[in-house]
Amino acid sequence: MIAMDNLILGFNILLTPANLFACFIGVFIGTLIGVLPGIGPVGTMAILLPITFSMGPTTAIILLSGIYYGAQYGGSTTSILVNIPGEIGSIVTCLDGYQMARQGRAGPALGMCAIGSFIGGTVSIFGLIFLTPSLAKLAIGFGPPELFSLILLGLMMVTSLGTGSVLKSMLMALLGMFISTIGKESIMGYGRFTLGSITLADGLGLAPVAVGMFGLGELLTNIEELKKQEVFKTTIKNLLPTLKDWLACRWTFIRSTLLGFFLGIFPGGGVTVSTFFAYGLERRCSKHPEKFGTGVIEGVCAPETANNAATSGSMVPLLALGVPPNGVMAMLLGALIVHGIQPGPFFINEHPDLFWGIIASLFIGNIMLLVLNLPLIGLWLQLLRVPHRLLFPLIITFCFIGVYSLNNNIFELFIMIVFGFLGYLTQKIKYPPGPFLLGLVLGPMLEVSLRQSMTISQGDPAIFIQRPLSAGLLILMILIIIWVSTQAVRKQGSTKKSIKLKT
Amino acid sequence: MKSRETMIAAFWILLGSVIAIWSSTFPFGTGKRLGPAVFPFTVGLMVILLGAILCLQAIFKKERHPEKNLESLLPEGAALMRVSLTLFAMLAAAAIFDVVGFLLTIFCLMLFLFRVIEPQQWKVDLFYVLIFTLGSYILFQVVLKVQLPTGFLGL
Repeated sequence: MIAMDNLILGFNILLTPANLFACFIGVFIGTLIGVLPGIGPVGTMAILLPITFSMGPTTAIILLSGIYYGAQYGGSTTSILVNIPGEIGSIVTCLDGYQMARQGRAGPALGMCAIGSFIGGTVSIFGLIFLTPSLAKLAIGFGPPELFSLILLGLMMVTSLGTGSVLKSMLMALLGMFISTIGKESIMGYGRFTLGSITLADGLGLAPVAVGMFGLGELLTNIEELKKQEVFKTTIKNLLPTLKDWLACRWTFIRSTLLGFFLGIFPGGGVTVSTFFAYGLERRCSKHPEKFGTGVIEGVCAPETANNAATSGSMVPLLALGVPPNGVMAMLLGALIVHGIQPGPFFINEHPDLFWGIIASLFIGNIMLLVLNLPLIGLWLQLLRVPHRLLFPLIITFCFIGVYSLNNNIFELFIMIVFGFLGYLTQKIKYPPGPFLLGLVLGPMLEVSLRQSMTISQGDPAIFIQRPLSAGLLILMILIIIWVSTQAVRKQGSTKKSIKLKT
Repeated sequence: MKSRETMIAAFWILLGSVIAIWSSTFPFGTGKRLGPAVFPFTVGLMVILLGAILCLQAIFKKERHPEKNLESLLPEGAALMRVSLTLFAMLAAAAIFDVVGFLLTIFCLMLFLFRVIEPQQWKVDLFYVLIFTLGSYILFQVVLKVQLPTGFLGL
């Protein structure tokens, strides 16, 4: 009943013109960038972050989070019609979605994606409502040692369990941590790596670095490649799936929602991993697993339901503990901090309007997305045909305006461009940028919690082991390191065996 | 490919060393009150360690397909021109942004990018550039009231 009262509070906060408009703009832009391959939600959130400074924190976060889950809806359109994932969470949708389009069933595929996304996105909100306050209560006993161990665990999980090389992910996270140390540190006000510059004394700033690394970095890669998109020529008809499709997917909705939500909670999990797991689970549960990949409706429903469920799941650790489980949530954390709000165990009590406003916006946002993605599918199809040569200069302009508007400082434009080049290079040499953002945002929290812990313990590092929660988190981290190392050695061993067999 | 990986690893070791050495010039504090040097110094050491592991991996990794012509790090030909000119345009625009002002800088930047990325007929490109520049001005300066430089033209 308390949750119901709070939900009503949330809807009261949401149902103001400014917040409703922000929700609509967020989900609209999210769908747009999901449809258009080339720029992802993190880059877009980074570009729009400076513009949100003139808004209140609730409005800003509603807009930015709308971009995230909106992008999951939009990504399926390109996957189905162009066989290119519009979003990283729609990679798996290509497997069966494009085949369905080739069979003249693009309409039901698109329709089922939208419906699955709606179900996954909406049902998982209830998980967010019930799990976040419970987890926050548990975390109230957290002190600096527990926070330190938790952040370390989160960073380790993201770098070890995410996609790509573990070593490269760790190096990017460390690079992010180093960048976060530039400027005056928060405890003694000592200037580090400033080269005597007053501008650098304020640090490099999250917005110029993030806009550069994610926005410009992706853009430069796209400008280099300049891929032409061939939109599959088909008439989109019968957007609503058939009764047979509904029956085929009735258990898929439930399984994928649960799997996506819980995988989204864990660092390193998130949208991408949830889609692969959901697809694999559906194939295992299917009576005809051999048909997956040839155009089965479950192969489209499962990943799209899971990726939207994962977006709500990934908000749980952010809002309850203040620890983002992935790069997108790190951006949202950065946005909250910039607006003067520190998420964590006390977040719900101190900012109930913000928390319940976000929850309410998730409900309304998912309804808006269902409307945007079903009847307005024609609009997105037209947008897919917009040449990239028109979009790229426009996005660069937005980056300029966004970053300059922060402090009217052209030095920040140069920071943005330098990190844009760095982001481009890291993509070329296959270094993942997500851990960099996590390191950038979590680095200061990690340092402060470490120094506070040592002060509390009078210089005794055993405090991290003496406190049970902290010790438990560190043991979990060690177990993950052992597991990842074992997997790596096994993989190397089996690779050597297969090479020997071939020769 | 192997030499590229080794060079990248060497870069990380160098970066880690710079971070660690520079950090050591800050106060380390005491065990009870850790100073500002401790965190970045530790980060630097970890970067050196991981860079060294990366270097060893690159040296001892067997090339499975050494005969394959692997793509170079930098793009070539037209792609290289596009990326280089885009970067140059952005740097130039940033340098003149305050002096020349928003309207003229964005107009020139967009026109340059249109001509660099995928040039069409001049009048087509000019048309789009004008629309986008004016549209951006109206959206940001007029509607959102973002503070943008007016430059010597006062626009």
